[in-house]
Amino acid sequence: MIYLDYNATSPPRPEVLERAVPFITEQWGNPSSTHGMARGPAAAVTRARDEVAAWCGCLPRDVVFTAGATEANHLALRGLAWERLLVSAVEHPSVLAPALALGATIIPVTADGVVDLTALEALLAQPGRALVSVMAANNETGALQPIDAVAALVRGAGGLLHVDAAQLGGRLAAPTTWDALTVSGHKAGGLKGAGALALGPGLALRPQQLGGSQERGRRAGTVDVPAVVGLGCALSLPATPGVEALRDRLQQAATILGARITSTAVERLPNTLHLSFPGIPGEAVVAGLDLEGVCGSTGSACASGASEPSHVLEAMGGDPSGGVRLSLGWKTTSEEIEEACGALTDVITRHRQVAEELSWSV
Amino acid sequence: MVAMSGGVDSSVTAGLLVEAGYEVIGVHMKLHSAPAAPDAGVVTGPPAGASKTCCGLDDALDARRVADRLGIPFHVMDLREAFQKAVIDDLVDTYMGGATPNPCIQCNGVLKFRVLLSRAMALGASKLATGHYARVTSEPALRTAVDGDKDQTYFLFPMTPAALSRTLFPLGGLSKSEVREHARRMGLSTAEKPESQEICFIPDQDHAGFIARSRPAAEGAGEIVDEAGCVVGKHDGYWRFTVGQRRGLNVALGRRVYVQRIEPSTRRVVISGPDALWSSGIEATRWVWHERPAPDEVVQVRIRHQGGLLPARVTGGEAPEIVLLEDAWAVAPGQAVVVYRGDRVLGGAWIRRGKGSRPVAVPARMKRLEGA
Repeated sequence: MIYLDYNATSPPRPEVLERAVPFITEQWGNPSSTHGMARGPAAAVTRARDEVAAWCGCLPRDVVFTAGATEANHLALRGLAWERLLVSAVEHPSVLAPALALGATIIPVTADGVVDLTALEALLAQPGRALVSVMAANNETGALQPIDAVAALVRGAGGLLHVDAAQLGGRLAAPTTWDALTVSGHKAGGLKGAGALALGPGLALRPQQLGGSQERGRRAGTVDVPAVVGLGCALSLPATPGVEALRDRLQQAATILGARITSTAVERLPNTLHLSFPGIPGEAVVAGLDLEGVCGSTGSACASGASEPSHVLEAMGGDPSGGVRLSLGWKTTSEEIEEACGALTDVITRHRQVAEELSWSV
Repeated sequence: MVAMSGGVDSSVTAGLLVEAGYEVIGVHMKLHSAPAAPDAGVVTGPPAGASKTCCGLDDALDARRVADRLGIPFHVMDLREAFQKAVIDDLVDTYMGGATPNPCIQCNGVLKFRVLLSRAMALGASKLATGHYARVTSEPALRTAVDGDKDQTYFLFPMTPAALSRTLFPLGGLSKSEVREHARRMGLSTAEKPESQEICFIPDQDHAGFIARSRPAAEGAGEIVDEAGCVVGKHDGYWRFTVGQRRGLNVALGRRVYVQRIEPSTRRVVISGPDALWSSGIEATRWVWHERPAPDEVVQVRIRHQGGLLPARVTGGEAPEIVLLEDAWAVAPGQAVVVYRGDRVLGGAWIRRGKGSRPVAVPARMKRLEGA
């Protein structure tokens, strides 16, 4: 099995397992307790908090652990004080859906999927303190958003900036300017079930879960110690070199097969390749790759598992169906990429042969 | 590749093929969007509500559970665009044309054994299997199921020989109770799932309401007239009616009257007593032949699903015609006529109209007086 779906989740790094597993098997105490069984877990959570703060560039006290990036995004949008909410059209559904429910205004994106800064400036000129939520890197296309430029505009207008950096951990450094930052553990080689919202110094946050004083009263509920340890560990590890070269090799093979590569005109995550083959549905390519032992994704799926028309591609003015996302990570090898190139060639060639043989459309 | 609707039949189909040693891939076709949830627009994605018909979210998840249980790869394919064109638009157009559509035949002929089959081949699958009660023999020939009550060949006649040669119907030799027994034996969660028999994309089965929503500008209301052309009532949409229908006419003529024919151009629904609904022949279009019978061969034809077999001959040249050796009652335009030789499907077509109605025994004028 060749795993090329790191943007969905990544295999835990060995260092993560080594540090996290003892908190399942032996040191299972509640870190909020005051007795001896709590000390080990409490110390581990403190270390993880320091590591997350170091990656984000904030104080440890301003890190709020959550049960993942989705919760962190909700906490930012619902917990920060704002008068107007602006979110980009290509945000992850865990930002877009709560934002729309809160009456947000959508910031349009360019054909390459990055925030239209002119449009953002115009939106910011309207009265009312704005919370702007823009992701660091898009989960489908890998396109990096111009966070520094966005931050300058937001600061200039006296607004707040939330950055969803769920796809950045383990791949690139965190952006330098933000007021709230979402991170994810399992996308970075950590474990599922832990994320965090990092806050700017002294920024007030209205809790969304009550009933416990954990996380300084900003997020009630016992901390998931092994997952949080994994998050801290994953963010403290250096990114694996060479992933970008492997991605480029895969991109070259796909281009030869006639693929259209998405967002090539802008900077992308080094591990992400989003492409489409005209006339071949993305889900058919993904199913074909699966049968060849290659795990890929259409990038957006509904509850049934069917690929949904992508709101990201739609916002970019492209064909919202037909996309395929291949995302690499720390464990990907060049042998795997060579095999994946072969599998992709087989899948695409067979589709074209069948389409040619049959008078009906595939 | 097994088409898995999430029902018990396709679940057992997949299970039997796994047991037979096939390398099986499960595929669920997403054919239409589930009805909108109350909070649609706020939270994107399908509604969380339950669905009682095929193709809903629950069914996709049921199919996935079975695939997981069997340990086979499972994929959902979004065929909504093709389904919209081949089945939904066809249904609305056919009703608007004054006929009675059969969406299941369209779905099988176009979606399953054309679009899905080509997807299967493109994925390198050698066969497409479905949970239909029918059999394929090596000629290739389409034959009726061993369980005659469950036979679904009426829905499958548009399959081409090329499609037949790439198809497996593992349930063709089983009865429904045997299928449920297999499901229980294999521990499949769909074993006790009830049958779905309605039109899957019209959950409330109100096809008239569906047409009104699909074509809001369409004018369907008109007059109900008797066989002499006298107006005897009004209706609020001619597409509510089917040849042979008695209910919903709301006319009190003191005798049993039925829809004899529908005239979409005038939006008139013509009613008559039962005698005028007999036909001695059938004119049909878009023929599919697996083997065309000789003009003197006595074959059997079926004009509705689970309807009886009627002896008939197929005459004519380029445009075949059905000569019925026993009259048929209420031949409904838009339905299929399927031609059988014993258990073998020879071909079929879409009914345009019944022909050669038996002369009406009582003059129309007298009948009207009778009703007055």
